[in-house]
Amino acid sequence: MDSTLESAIRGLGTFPYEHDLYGRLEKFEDAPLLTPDMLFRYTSSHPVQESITEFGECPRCYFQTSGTSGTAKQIPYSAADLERQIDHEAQSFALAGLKPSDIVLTLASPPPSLSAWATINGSTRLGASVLNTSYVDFDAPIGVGESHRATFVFGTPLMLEMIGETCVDGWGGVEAVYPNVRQGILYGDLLPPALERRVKRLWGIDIRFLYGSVEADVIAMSCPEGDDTLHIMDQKIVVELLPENAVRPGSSAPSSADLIAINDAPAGTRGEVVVTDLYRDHMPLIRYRTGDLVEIATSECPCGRVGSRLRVLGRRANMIDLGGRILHEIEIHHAIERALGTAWDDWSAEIAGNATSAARMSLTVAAPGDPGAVGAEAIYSELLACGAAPAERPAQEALLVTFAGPRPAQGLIATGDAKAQRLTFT
Amino acid sequence: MRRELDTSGSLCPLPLLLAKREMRQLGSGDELVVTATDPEASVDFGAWVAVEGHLLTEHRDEAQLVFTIVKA
Repeated sequence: MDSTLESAIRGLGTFPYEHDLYGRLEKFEDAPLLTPDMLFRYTSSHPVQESITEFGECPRCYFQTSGTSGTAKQIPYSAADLERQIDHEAQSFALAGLKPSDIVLTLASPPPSLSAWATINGSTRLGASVLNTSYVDFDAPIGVGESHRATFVFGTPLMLEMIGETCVDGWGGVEAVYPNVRQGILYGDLLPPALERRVKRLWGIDIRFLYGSVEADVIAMSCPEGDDTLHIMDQKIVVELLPENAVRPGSSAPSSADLIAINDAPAGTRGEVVVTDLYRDHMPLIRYRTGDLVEIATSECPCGRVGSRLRVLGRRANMIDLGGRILHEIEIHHAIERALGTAWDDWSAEIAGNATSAARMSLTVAAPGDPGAVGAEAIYSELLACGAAPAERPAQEALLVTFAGPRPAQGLIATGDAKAQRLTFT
Repeated sequence: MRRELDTSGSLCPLPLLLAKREMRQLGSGDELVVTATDPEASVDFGAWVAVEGHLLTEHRDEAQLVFTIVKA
């Protein structure tokens, strides 16, 4: 067993363990996988009592997931759980560079979302100040002449883009109203390079990325000295992987026997994140399948921290299998970037017959100008170089690349908030 | 004064951001009527009026949500 996992479990001494959700577990290794559906069924049939704790600005005792995996779940916390959660967030924010002297603008979803609660409480635990409550009152500091004080911003990439564009419309630009914001923590499924560029252009900030979920809270965080890899916040959580082959489209349901400990996974290993948080009194999270796919990096981070790091690839539900060639969302972003440089805005794709021999993907790239056949061939070649490519090239007609005009001023190809919808499976 | 804004088809937080922009043109006591189709808009508009003190009434008209906001 991985030493981090072993010490976490030994330190807790919670096994044998009994809980309505899991039954009786003699030891951690016996724990089966917990799927979002199982968690939804449990939380739906065990409604939490609102008297368990108080959330301050939130009157409830649970956080509600967004429901993008199909069903919204209510994740309950005790008061002690929440205190540990705040410490966890503060440690994560500190790793990303938030300092006690910072003054925070939060563009999180309004309370009682986890994001608003976490950004406010995690920041103040570190000693930082917070100017507002969520994106709903992002302009309140402007109205009272306080916006120049903000030095740090939180939000999803799309939220920063939308609020940035709103600042351009209303006040002439972000610089005019938030001139001293120097850094931001963005969170969500992915940080696509084109969107990162637009956010940087609008806000002029240095960006860190936080990977997490409502069920698990912060899982990993990038650091100021590092690259696009994320440090696992393993002071509180344990991460295991279901290898890519065990979760690819059409494969049989994986079990806990398929799991590999994160520190046993060689560099380049790809798989679905399975997360455990035993430091919760009310409802521990044990071997929860996040649905997120990552790649492992083991090289030393320039920041000096050791241990495996994660590179987020995309959602399992969005895994594309073109006749055995697996493609992930972030690989499409990077393939277009390598082919066209920065001369593109966004993309969408329609996949027919996914994971069959007749699978076809039609990729539409929003790009100013017309990259034409040369651009299309360049993207096609870059996509073929992604992942562990099998020898056989898919026929060009199985991977069509076309171009739309530039991204429209209002609205993206991708829509929504943290969970942009770029892929359609038919 | 009374203004109307149709945000049908837009996903959150766009309806709220558009409504906030429109509201800046209005004075105290003026009314803004916003039509939205994203059910999450209820959360956003409820949180907004709670923070800024506007008066909100909401009703559903088939697949649409209609918010009437009186500026504080």
